[in-house]
Formats: sequence, structure tokens, C-alpha cells
Amino acid sequence: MKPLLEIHGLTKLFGSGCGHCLPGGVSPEEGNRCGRCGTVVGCGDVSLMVYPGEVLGVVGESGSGKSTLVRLIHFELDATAGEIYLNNGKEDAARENLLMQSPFRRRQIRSRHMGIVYQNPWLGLRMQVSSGGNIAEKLLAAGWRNVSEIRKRAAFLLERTEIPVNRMDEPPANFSGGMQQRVQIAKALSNNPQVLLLDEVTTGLDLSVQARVLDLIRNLQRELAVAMIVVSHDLGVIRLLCQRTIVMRHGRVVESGLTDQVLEDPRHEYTQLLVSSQL
Amino acid sequence: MLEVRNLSKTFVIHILGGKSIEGFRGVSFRLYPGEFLGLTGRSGSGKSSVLKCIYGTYLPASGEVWFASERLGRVDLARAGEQAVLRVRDGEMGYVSQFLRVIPRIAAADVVAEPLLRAGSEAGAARRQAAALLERLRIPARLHDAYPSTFSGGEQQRINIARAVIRKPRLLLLDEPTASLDRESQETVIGILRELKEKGTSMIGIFHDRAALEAIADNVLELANGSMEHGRP
Ligand SMILES: Nc1ncnc2c1ncn2[C@@H]1O[C@H](COP(=O)(O)OP(=O)(O)OP(=O)(O)O)[C@@H](O)[C@H]1O
Ligand SMILES: [Mg+2]
Ligand SMILES: [Zn+2]
Repeated sequence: MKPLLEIHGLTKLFGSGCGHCLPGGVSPEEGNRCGRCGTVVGCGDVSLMVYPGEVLGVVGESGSGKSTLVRLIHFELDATAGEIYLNNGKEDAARENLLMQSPFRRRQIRSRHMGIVYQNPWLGLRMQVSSGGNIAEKLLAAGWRNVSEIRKRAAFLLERTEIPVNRMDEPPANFSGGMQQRVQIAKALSNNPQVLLLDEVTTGLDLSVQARVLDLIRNLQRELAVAMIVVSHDLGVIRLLCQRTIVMRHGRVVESGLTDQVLEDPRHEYTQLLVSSQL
Repeated sequence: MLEVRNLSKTFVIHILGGKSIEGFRGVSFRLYPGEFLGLTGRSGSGKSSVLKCIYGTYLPASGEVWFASERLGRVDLARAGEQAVLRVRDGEMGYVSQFLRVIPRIAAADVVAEPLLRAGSEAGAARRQAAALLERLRIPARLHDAYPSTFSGGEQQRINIARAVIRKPRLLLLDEPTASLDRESQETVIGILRELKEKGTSMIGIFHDRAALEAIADNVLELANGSMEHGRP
């Protein structure tokens, strides 16, 4: 089976670097911040694969580079180095490093083939625009043109994410945190993405609300078989959703494996600490 | 079906200053279709670790785990890579753990039906098959729609067994599958395992209970301080 998403040597340095830390940023032993020039390794030489229908977990302490990774994949940040390939299923399609494509082409790929859900719904939604309008915006970007089709699709998705359809014309600002997350999920899925990126989507919600959002994600995943990258510092979430997991520290991947293996037989010192402090 | 060669596991615990703990070492055996191998040995001798190394939950320190996969051919699971292990787990290799980890907020019948759905079965048929198996395992119909997290230890264990056997895996790893069951349920489980065995499923099992072991094992392998002995149950 061919990977759906393929990433090689993805690097993001925050800062201009100096003779001490260039080209790849300070060595992991020094942490993630250059002591001389202050440049931070957001993401250092990260390589990973996501296979069709697979859910990959990303864990690591705060500041370890998880969100940077997600935003690089979503083209919200410009990478310092690296390659990203998205296999669109057509065997003969040219293999193109997406990071080398024009900004226009990257936006197009993002609109058509990716979805993202942020921890903070303010990042993913326009709070004063109706929920239906939020979804319509994404569909328009993905090339949809027929207004009644768009409205139908929005209603379908909101229903699917358990938002009463009669509230579709209300802005997310009127909704609870859990509902806002569900509108974000509806929006993220509207274009039938090949890859769905979830960045700490249950963090900060009440436990019962968290459970409902997680159940929704799990059910949708099973139903749509959409590939996902799930970032969470909650190992319970990772265990529940992900077949494979990578562990990040100081912007680097320090360990990766089957989720049960990473959690039950962690080899890296940092993973052992992470697991023993949570289980 | 399975050939394990010189398998060893050591845990290096960095938070204890790199202390190294031996799980087991030098384990070798062959397992033929329809054969049941019992693992015995005192507490801490490494029985569960052997099963976990085969399943891929633990990474062996050394050794080989050759599995005759229907889909992938002969593969060394110790080196095969994550995708291959996931594919083998999906339908060919099952595992029943010593301690339950139930999936939250899913009805018992759905927990059991899930492997069938993943294999492409139609939802109604999968659920009926799951219900019949649960019935057989003496889980009353009124519990089929309830969440297993509210069940007794013995009930949870039977859910776990049902989920592991419903797709009739070719290799089944059992870690104390009958530990919290009453005599009657234990016999039912042994009955189900026997049927699978007759259809060719190979099994490796750890049983606390000597009688249960004798009722099903063809061979036993005793783990003791690194050495290992073959014998009849
Ligand atoms: N994840 C782990 N990390 C560190 N050490 C471990 C781990 N799992 C097992 N061990 C150690 O490996 C050895 C073998 O343990 P294992 O659980 O396999 O024994 P067992 O024979 O199944 O014991 P029991 O009969 O008590 O269930 C023990 O010393 C145990 O403490
Ligand atoms: Mg044990
Ligand atoms: Zn520097």
C-alpha cells in the first residue's frame, strides 16, 4: 500500500539562525533554542507517513513542536526545509513536493484535500458568520458553486455532527465550546478531505463534552475512513483513536511505533517519563 | 503457523538510571496449525512478555517471530514494520489480555461486532453474529446494549474474548483468558477455543488454572530463569 501523506526531513526554524545552529537548528542535546542567537527549532528533520484510512497520533509536551508540524502540513507556515507529498490515488500523477509549489497551488490543495480542527475554535471559525456560512466558505474554496447544493451539504454535515439544523443560520459565537468544536469538525469534513488534521480538539472541554466530541470523531473516522493526524497531550485520546503514534520533543521525533507499543514499551527516556507520568 | 527463534526481551528503564530488566530470553518454539501451546512459569518469568513480543506490543531485544500470514506470506513480525503488523492484527492474529481495557461508551454488542464491520460485513448481520456469540458466552441480552465499562470483571473478560474470536483469527494469543470466570463460563470459553482449534486456529495460552490448561493444551513450554522446557501438559 502506498502512503497517502509522505513527509521527509521537514524543518522549521523560528529565527534566522547563526553559525552555531545552521542549517538544521541546535542539536537535540542542546534543546530547541539556540543559546547564541535564540533561533528555535519548531520542527527538526521530521519524517513520517500516513497511510490511507489511518490515524496517526502525535504526542509530546507543550512546546515540542506538534502544532508547528500540523501547521506546516496545512501550509500555514513556510517550511525551512523538507518535502511533503500527498498521494491523490492516481497512479500516474506526478510526484510533486508540495513545499515547492506556488502559494496558489498549495492553497488549492489545502482547500480540496485537507481539513483542520484547532483547539481554539476562533482559529477555525468566523464567529460572527452563520455556521452554515462557515461551511459554505470552505466549500466555495474547494470549488463548489451551486448555492442550493452548498446549503444542502452544510445542513447534512451539521446534522451529522449533531448540531440542530434549525441553528444553522446562527453564528458559532452563540454556541457552547463543544458545539463550536462540532461546527469546526463539520467544516473540516465538508470537502471530503484526504487528510484531517486535529490539533488538541478536546483540550479545555468538560469531560462529558470531551467524550461526546471524541465519540463523534471516532464514528466519523470509521464511517468515512478518512486519514487523520491527531495531536494530543492526552494519552487516553491517543490510545482511543490512533493506530500509530510519534513522540516529539524539542521539535524532533524521538520515538515512533504502534500506539500500544509506544505506550506499553516506550524506549526513549522522554517517552518513558511521559507515559509514567500519565498512566 | 508460527516459528519463534531465540526471542529475548530486555527493558531499559531510563528513569531508573538506565537500569536493565530482563523480561525473558532464549525462547524458541514452533506452533503448527490447530496446535495449542500452553506457557507456564512462575509469576514474573516473562509469560505475558512473550505474548506481547509476538503481538508487537513489546519490541523484542533480539530473535525472530516468523508468522505464516495468509495475506503477506511468511513474515518475521519482529522486523516486519508497523504496517505489516497492523495488517496481521487485522483479522489474522488476535490477543486477549490479562487486564481488560474496554473501549469507552460503546455498547457490548458493538464492541464485539466491530472487527466484523472492519472486515466489511453488513451492520445488521455483524450485530446478530455478535449477539449470538455473547449469548453463548452467557452475557444476557439485556446487557448487549449496555457499556462494558459498567460490567463485572468476568463479564468484561467474556466481551474481550468474544471480540478476539469473532473473526476466527489464525493465531490467538491468550493471557489468562479465564482468570475471572466461574466454572461454567470457563467451560464455555474452553469449548469455543476447542472449536476454533479444530478449524485450524493456533493458540498460545497462559492459564493460571492447571485444569483449564490440561483441558486444551497440546504442549507446554515452561519459562524459568531464562531457560525453557518443552513438555506435555
Ligand atoms: N513494560 C514493562 N516495563 C518494564 N518491565 C517490564 C514490563 N513488562 C514486564 N516487565 C518485567 O519483565 C518481567 C516479566 O514480566 P511479565 O509480565 O512478562 O511476567 P509474567 O510471567 O507474565 O508474570 P505474571 O505471571 O505475574 O503475570 C518482570 O520482571 C516484569 O517486571
Ligand atoms: Mg502475566
Ligand atoms: Zn543560532
